[in-house]
Amino acid sequence: MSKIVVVTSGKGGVGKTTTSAAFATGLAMKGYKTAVIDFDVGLRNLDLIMGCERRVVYDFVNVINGEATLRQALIKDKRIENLYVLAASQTRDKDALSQEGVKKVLDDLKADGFDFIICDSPAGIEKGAHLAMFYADEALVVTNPEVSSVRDSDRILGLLSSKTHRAANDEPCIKEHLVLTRYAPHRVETGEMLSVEDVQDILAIPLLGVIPESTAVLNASNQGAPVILDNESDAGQAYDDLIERFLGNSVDFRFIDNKKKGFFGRMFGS
Amino acid sequence: MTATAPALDNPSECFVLRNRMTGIAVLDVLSNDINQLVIQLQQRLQLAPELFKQAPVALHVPAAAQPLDIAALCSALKPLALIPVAITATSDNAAQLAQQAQLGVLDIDSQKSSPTTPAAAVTAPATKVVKQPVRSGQQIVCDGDLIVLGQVGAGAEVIAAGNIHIYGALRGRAFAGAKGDESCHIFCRQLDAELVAIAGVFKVSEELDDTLRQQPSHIQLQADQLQIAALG
Repeated sequence: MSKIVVVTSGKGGVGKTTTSAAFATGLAMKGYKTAVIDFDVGLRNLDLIMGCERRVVYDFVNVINGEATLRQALIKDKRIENLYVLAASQTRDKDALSQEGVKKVLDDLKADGFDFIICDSPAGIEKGAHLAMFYADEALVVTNPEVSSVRDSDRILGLLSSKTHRAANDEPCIKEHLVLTRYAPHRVETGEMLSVEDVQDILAIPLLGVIPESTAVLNASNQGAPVILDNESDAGQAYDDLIERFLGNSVDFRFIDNKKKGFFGRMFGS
Repeated sequence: MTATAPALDNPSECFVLRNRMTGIAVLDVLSNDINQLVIQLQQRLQLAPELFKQAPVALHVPAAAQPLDIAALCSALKPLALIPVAITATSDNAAQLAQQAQLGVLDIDSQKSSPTTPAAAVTAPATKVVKQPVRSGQQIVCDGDLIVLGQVGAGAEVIAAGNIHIYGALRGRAFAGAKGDESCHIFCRQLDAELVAIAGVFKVSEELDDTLRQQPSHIQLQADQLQIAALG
């Protein structure tokens, strides 16, 4: 039974694409056949983060318009078995997406035996974001620990419960998960950043993962290797924990407490 | 409120005329500048366009707002989807105004004082219960009392013609008595509102007393002032 998971946030730049890439890669590493689709038509990025930008021949819009088959457009990842990317079109805009077209692509992926279909939503609440969430079974709501991002996520949660296929057909609600990214415990301590508890209090949905602010994320983006492949890094490990929780395993939260500096750290401020 | 037309002796009477009302908005006319009034009214109605769509209104016109071209006012209200139906009996020259505008005269105050009957309970506007949190950008509008089991997020709006009960945090905006009922209340478990209003009298977040913030609160209207008190 395939599951469609939308990665969404409302606000831009909070880490949707980074999360989509890491999440899809992580699921594939666990052996699940996974496709990740870039819904950000006109501003495509996912192919860069996934490191397959040089192999894009056909894209999502080509498939919707019948100019290419799904098989031709799916890009197989070179590192991980079972992982496929469907890139967005850079030369078109969101109007090129249609509800029927999106449904057909998702249905075809299901028929192809994909376990997970990850929809990387564009920022905003307009057509692209709407279509990315429309057919979802579950949602990862990516939020930064600051007020504007939290408010936008609240708005997105409202849309998830009212403007989706499940809501329109009175089916069970979309299962919502909170993913808190760019978390810096020392800045929470100084009151510069909202804490995990603050964000959960406002959004009132279960917490799936906390990804610490990390230099590894920028390095990963620049190299086109999803950060979860860097299992030495804190962010990579945090995404790994997140996937375990998504699959139903209980894992303690890491990286949410400020590490006490050791003696040398205190002495020399490093 | 139950006064019916005198029962006819004829057993096959074709109708019963009741002057009981389940709720009618009263437009208090404070100025005879119709243009200005329409502009202000338009702004107010934009807060909750659904609530007043094709709503019957009674016009209260005190001496201060007269002389007034009542017929012009009535035709100016129609494009706003308000249907003037009566002049309140407490208006000055009520009978004369009513005749000019071809409206009825409505004795609202005497209705208020008359005892309610079981029949009135049947027609009371339904209470709406919202079980999901009200998220930012959502607007809930209700003709009676509104009960929200979760929270009302920042940027969300809850609007009710009756009372509002929120069993979570109120971080957005709440408008109780949206059709002008000044006896309405707002209750919430945690007050952190952007704005609270009862019958159009409002306070924004900045005006809230800091000692009441985050506290369970009860908001009511007393002598045209919003009174906010801690609950329990």
